[in-house]
Amino acid sequence: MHSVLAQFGYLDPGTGSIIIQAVVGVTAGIAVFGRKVINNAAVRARSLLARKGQKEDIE
Amino acid sequence: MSRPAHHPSSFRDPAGFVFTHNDEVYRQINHEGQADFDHFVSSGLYDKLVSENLLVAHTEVAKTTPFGADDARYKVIKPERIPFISYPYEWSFAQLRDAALLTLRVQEIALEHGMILKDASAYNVQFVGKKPVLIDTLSFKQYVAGEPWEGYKQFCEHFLAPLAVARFTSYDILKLLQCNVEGIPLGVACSLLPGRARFAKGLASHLYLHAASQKRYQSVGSTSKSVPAPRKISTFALRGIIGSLQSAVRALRPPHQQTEWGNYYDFTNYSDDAFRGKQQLVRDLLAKVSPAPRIVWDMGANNGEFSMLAAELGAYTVAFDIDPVAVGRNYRHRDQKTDDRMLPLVQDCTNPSPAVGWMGRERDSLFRRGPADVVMALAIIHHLAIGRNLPLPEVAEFLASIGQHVIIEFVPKEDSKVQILLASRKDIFPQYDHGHFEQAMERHFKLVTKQPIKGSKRTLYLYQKKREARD
Repeated sequence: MHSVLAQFGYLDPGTGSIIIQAVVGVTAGIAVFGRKVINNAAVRARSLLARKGQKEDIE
Repeated sequence: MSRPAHHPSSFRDPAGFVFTHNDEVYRQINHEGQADFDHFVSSGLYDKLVSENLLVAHTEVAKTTPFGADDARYKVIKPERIPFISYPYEWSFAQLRDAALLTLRVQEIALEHGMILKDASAYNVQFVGKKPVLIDTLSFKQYVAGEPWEGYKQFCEHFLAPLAVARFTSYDILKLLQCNVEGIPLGVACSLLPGRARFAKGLASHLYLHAASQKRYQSVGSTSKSVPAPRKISTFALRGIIGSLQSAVRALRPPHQQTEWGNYYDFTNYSDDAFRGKQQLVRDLLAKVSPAPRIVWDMGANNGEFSMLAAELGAYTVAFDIDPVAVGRNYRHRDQKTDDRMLPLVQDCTNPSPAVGWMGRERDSLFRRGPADVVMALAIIHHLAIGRNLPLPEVAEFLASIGQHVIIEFVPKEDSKVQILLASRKDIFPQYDHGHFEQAMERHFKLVTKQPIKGSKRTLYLYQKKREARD
């Protein structure tokens, strides 16, 4: 921990806060990444459906 | 020509500091902050943040400018001036929330440019009208993969904890920020929150687990506890934390709380005609002030109905009110013409913001941030004199200490609003009348004009402050 802490100067980040970042970070990263994937998929699905609807209207 | 003066709130960062010179604000960048500042500019981060109005813009000042010799100096920049400095304990819930989201957005963009915010102080954010903006150009350092976010704890204490506690208890909790200038300690926040807050988005990890972890490791380095193994935080995890904090902050809604003045304009005793007449009178009195006011303080502005008139005339208008719901309403009301000139703030003028922080100078008192060119005090005198037992000469002295001109509405005892104030108490205010009011005001001010408000028993006065006699 000392080697990591040695990089900090301006603020004391607090040992407990660094530990919690390590613990929460990965889970939060997966959650945020997962949400992005789902959102992107939803946007793509919506645009596909919209395009399909437009084609049917033209036909 | 004055000598450069260190700003009393800018002394902690070895990378540089803010100073004033000939009434202008500058920021010195020391050699210690040179590498980070150069990267900040060359990476395109500065341009990106300024183009998105997230950071205050600056210009570089020629080295020949006579600030005096300083071996530590690398550069001097001149940031755009913030018209009125406000503090987190004067913001409404929505303003603190927007300031939190701004900080996280800036952090996101900084990571894309290989930099990271080295702190996350709420005092690094200011409002220009209703728009939050980061003012600390030296908050950025080059990001080293694997390092945690140094400002994470500060972000949680300055933003997340106060917002969460206010969300689950009361707006009043935000006043705690005035005595806790480093934010609300996480342990304290957790003890104030109800059990159900654990299930709110992000609070279990960023507040509860965080507080528990702080408690567990608070004595690291002492003989009794072992030092934990070094941990690296991947960029993926760091982005996850920022995303998770964004969701947590966005999910925090203002508390469900009825306040005394939240719906004031739904219950005034003005007819529509009288209300419009008063608006026109205020507009006329503002136009009479010469030179045209640059800064107007509206004391008791409620949702900014009358402050808007000053903003429309081009004055930067600070709309103070004691009621956080009314201030929040004003903040949320969007008007493209005046949004950049209207700053709503929570302020109790019977207990104005004091100077706080190191040496009692870090954050200015309300008085030190004045005087305003014009102070508007509409329909407030009866609340001060009768509601709070403030003698009229005291009220006049207060107004003289904060404004060069005063537009003030006198509400006589016959008015139904005063009758309500006196309904449940003995009338111990024999001197509350026009005559004593004018006498008190004329000790400090010269009367410019007075006009009755049609359709009411009230009178509107415009006063100009008398020049102080020199010793």
